[in-house]
Amino acid sequence: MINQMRADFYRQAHTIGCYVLLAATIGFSVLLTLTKQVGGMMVSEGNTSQLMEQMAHSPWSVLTGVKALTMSTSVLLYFDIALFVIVIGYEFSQKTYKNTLISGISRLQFIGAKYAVMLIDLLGLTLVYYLTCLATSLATGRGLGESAGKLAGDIAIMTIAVAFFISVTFSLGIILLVATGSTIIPAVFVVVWPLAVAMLTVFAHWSWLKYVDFINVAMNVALSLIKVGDLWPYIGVSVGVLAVTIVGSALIIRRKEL
Amino acid sequence: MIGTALDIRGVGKRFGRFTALDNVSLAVRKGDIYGLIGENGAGKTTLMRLICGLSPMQTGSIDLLGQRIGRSQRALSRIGAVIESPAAFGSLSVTQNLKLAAIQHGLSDSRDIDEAIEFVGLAEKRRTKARHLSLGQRQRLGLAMAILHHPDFLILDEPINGLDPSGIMEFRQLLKRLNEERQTTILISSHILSELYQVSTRFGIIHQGHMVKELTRPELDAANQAGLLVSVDQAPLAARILDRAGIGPFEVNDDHHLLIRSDGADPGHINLMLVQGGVLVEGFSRQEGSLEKYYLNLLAEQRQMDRQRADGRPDELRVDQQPNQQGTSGEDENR
Repeated sequence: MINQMRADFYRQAHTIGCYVLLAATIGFSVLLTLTKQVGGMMVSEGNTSQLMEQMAHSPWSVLTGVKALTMSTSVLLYFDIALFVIVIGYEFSQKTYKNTLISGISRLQFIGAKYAVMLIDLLGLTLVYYLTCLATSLATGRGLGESAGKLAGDIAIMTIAVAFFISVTFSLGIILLVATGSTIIPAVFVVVWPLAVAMLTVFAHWSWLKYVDFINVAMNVALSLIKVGDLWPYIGVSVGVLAVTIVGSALIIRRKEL
Repeated sequence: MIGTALDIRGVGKRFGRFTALDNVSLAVRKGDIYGLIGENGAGKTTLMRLICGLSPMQTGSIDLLGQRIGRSQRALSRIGAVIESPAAFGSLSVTQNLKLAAIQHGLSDSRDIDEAIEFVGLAEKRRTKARHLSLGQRQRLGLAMAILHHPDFLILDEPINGLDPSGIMEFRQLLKRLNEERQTTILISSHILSELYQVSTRFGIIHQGHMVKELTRPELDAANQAGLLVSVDQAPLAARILDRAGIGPFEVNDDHHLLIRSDGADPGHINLMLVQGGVLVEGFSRQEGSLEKYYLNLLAEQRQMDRQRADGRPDELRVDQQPNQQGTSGEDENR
């Protein structure tokens, strides 16, 4: 599994698309920070709307910037679809998984390695996203907004929360990819899922949907809109989804004609 | 199972109502180059995919290098395979694709990559992206990736497809070198018998999901010899008569058949001589030495047996299996 992860990182290091994605992430972060844009592709309601309103009409510090960037993670999710295609989609479209699976790796290790690589990539990209905001804000002479130590802690929590919950959304994409063999279907799914869940929440008022509204959960965690004590059900559902998608994908691939 | 690299027993595979493999058994010994021959759709690729674990097992068992496929993936780390078309990352160069495969196999020595590139003759293309390689060069890259980690067992599915004549010759030499220099056991499939004949030491002929025949190269050579096939009631007596008359060279195939490997043998003269010596001559037929004809005859007999089975007349009409016999009514010269 470790060898497979190393191989994936080697391939990414030699894939232009990864550098384009990195540049796009940096560019998006710079753009948001400089233009003080708040918001993304989401259905705004409640606390989130209030926070967006406050940010739009208050002077920006570095902290304001990273919070605003967090509100835009739904757009970052769309950027990260490219990562999903590079890490795992390409293996299925080019059928290079044959080489990988013949190398002696188990199906579970294969899927586990792919998810782990995606998570590490997402952590890296999200950190770059926030650090770019930090650098841009400092370059434009904005204050930190809080102590340096607390800001570092906030950025770390935001990075982990955003990357983790985006990865949960992509884990649903992985099982769709394995089941259908199509990269289009999971890509469309990843785009539609947050919007569909948010809209259903607004119109159908099914409160349990909040546990699978992963992008919104990421934002709420990052912006401290969910108390630590209330976080466990969200984490539990996400870990459960991860377990089902990773083990499920391994089982599907074991029964599939490759 | 000492000496056996691959042991396939009673393997069956169905896709819906279509039976791709039906109770197929075969054994590949260590050091063999086993040629799996069959028409397109005969079940060769399905069998190879089962061996590699790319297709789930339904019935039967496959033991590869002492490990049961489906229970353990360990044996797969000791094999190399090119199934269907070689799969490489088009945006990576030859060297980068091999580096990737090396990392997957836990190899850190770059000499393994250089050696594999040299071995398959891609040294001049080492910096070329895989998507810019010709079909033959991609086949070579596939082979390089398959042999990079010095596998004990190599599985090649139709590797000569798309190769030009010189490419086929070079590929043949590569396989022989792998087998002789690295002692790699090879399972190779093709629908072209004459190509497999050049490299293989054992053959398995598969037809519509059934293993029709397994034979060694000497057995194939014997079955494939050209000459005049004489059917008699007492082959040993006939052999003594021919020997005394200085006719030959000839071989006694069994108690009732002799093969005279002389182009100038006169059937009329031989018939008279044998009859006078007390041998009942049942017939003469001209046996050709074409591997393709041998293969086609074998398939024709298999189809006839299939028809008989379908008609509910199992074996009563089954012909004596002399697959290399090319006799026709026009060529027979009965006594």
